Amino acid sequence: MFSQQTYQSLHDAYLLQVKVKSDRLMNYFLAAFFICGLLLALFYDTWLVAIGIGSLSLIAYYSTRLLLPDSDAYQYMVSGVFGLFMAQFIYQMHGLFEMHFIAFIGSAILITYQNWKLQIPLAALVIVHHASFGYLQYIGYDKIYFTQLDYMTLQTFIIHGILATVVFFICGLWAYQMKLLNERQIQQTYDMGRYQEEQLQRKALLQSNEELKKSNKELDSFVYSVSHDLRAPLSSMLGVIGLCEMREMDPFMEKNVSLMKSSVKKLDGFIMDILDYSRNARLEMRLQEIHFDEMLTDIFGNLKFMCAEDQKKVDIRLAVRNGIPFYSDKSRLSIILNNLISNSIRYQNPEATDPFVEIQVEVSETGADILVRDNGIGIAKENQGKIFNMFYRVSNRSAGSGLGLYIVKETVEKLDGVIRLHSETGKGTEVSVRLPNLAHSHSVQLQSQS
Amino acid sequence: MKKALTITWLLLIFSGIACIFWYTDWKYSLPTPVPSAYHPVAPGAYVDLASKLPVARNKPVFLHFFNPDCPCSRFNIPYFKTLVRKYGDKISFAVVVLNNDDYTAAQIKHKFDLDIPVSFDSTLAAACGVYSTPQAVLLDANHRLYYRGNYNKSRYCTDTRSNYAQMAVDSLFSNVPRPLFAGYALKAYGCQLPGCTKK
Repeated sequence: MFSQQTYQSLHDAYLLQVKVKSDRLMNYFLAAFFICGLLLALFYDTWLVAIGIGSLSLIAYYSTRLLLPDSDAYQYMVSGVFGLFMAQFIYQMHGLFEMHFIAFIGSAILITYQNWKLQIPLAALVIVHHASFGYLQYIGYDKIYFTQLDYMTLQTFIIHGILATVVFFICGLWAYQMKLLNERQIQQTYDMGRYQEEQLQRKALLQSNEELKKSNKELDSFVYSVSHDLRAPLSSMLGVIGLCEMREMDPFMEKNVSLMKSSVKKLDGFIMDILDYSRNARLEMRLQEIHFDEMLTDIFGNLKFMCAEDQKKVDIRLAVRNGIPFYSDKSRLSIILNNLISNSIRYQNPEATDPFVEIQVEVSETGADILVRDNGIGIAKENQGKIFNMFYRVSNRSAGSGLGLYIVKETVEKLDGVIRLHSETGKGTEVSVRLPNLAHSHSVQLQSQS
Repeated sequence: MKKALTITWLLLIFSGIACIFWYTDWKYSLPTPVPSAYHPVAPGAYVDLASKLPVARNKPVFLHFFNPDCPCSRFNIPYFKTLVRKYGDKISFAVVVLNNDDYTAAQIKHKFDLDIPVSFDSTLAAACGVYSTPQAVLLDANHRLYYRGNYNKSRYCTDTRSNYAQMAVDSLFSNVPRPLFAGYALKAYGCQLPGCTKK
């Protein structure tokens, strides 16, 4: 509802409502004023004035309203007409002083339009009428009968004038205040509508988010079970290949079995990557103290058969400084290090005389800085931006699945860490990972478990 | 175009309003027409009240010529009451009703909220030379005409300098020669008498 309704349209609708309501009120008030004139005519037989001036005033108002319906001129006219009725009543009652109060009644009625400017014609008419007639009577002009009071001195007149002005001013002020208040209310109504709409949108968003999460989770579970189930036959195949290798084979068979083994291993590696990704997305964090030395030794132990036979021996350089206990998710950290180190070993520079992989770990209270550096082939500048994208491979000849660095980035982010890459073609690559020390979260986790 | 038309139309209406005000005021300012059969009564003429009004002899008499249907008369009621309150002990006040309708003395007394004699005898008007309402007639202790005229120059009796009737009363008691009143005092203003309307 509110999306189509702007503040301006709300405001305009309200103004129209005020106008219609006030116009209707004016019909009643003007009729009452006219009838009052007729009643006053009973006192001193002033029928000509009551009917003549009363009717002409009403004609002036209604004809303006009819001729200029889109302008607010008729509202100013009603203000003037109230002034005319005041003059008429004063005249009909031969200057009865109380009749001057009609001006104040008119002034109060005009508040309904919530436009302070409407007070101006009435005030102007009253001031001009009173000033001119009062002055004429004051100087002793014979033909003027403005007031029955014989003490209407200049001083009295000025005081009356000031008080009347104050009444007009206050009525104008109320009209203005009313307008301000109503505008504020319109703004609030509008804001409330917007807020409700936003709430509805947020609710819908939350709902779709939940659904998305659910389907994502289902997809993850599916990926996990499929990957897991795919690995079983691959392991069987590797076992069979191993059995074959134990037998004497002719060179042709030997070559094909070796190719088969490498393909199966590649496929297994790919599935392992998918499993790593799936685990990272699916599993909750399990914090425990990390012993980098042990972890790196394990990793290198697993990776030592990675090097091709024709590759040079890679020098492994380890520098771990971990005097402070470091807490993080061990399996996730293992995925990160495994991927980074295996990349460094895999993409060695064949021209390098002393290929090396250097791992530096520095642990502090706030976190661990891990640096994996090599003097491998490096990554070209133009590829560095895309290297962490899913399934991105620098070239089709790349050995990996294109998932490794993507998984690393996702896992680092899961651990609230930051990863940076610095690389130069032909010189080597340096990947630095900053992971927060989750010792505090670990103690919280322990407490909640106990 | 429409705007200009509206302004012209409104100006016409406002001129009409001004005309009505002016016309009414002009009509008010006109003296009451003198009836064709009018016989002027000169000051000092004796007015015989003997059988017409129960008023004390040897005491000045103030006759208030009044018509309940005349707006000017109605408007004049409060002022007449102030005169009665002020001079009631020295002068015999009486109301002479000039109206063809069946008003009773009690009704008239009720209108004024005063217990003073009320007469419905229209010959009193002719005897005093009155042909409009409201008019004040002051007779001295010998019931000779001392003043016959308007109460005030102003319709509202607000002009203290032209309280002619009151000035006549004051002069009667101060033993000074009768003042010469201006045209505004003696030229009758107000409603014509019933039966002699000549508008």
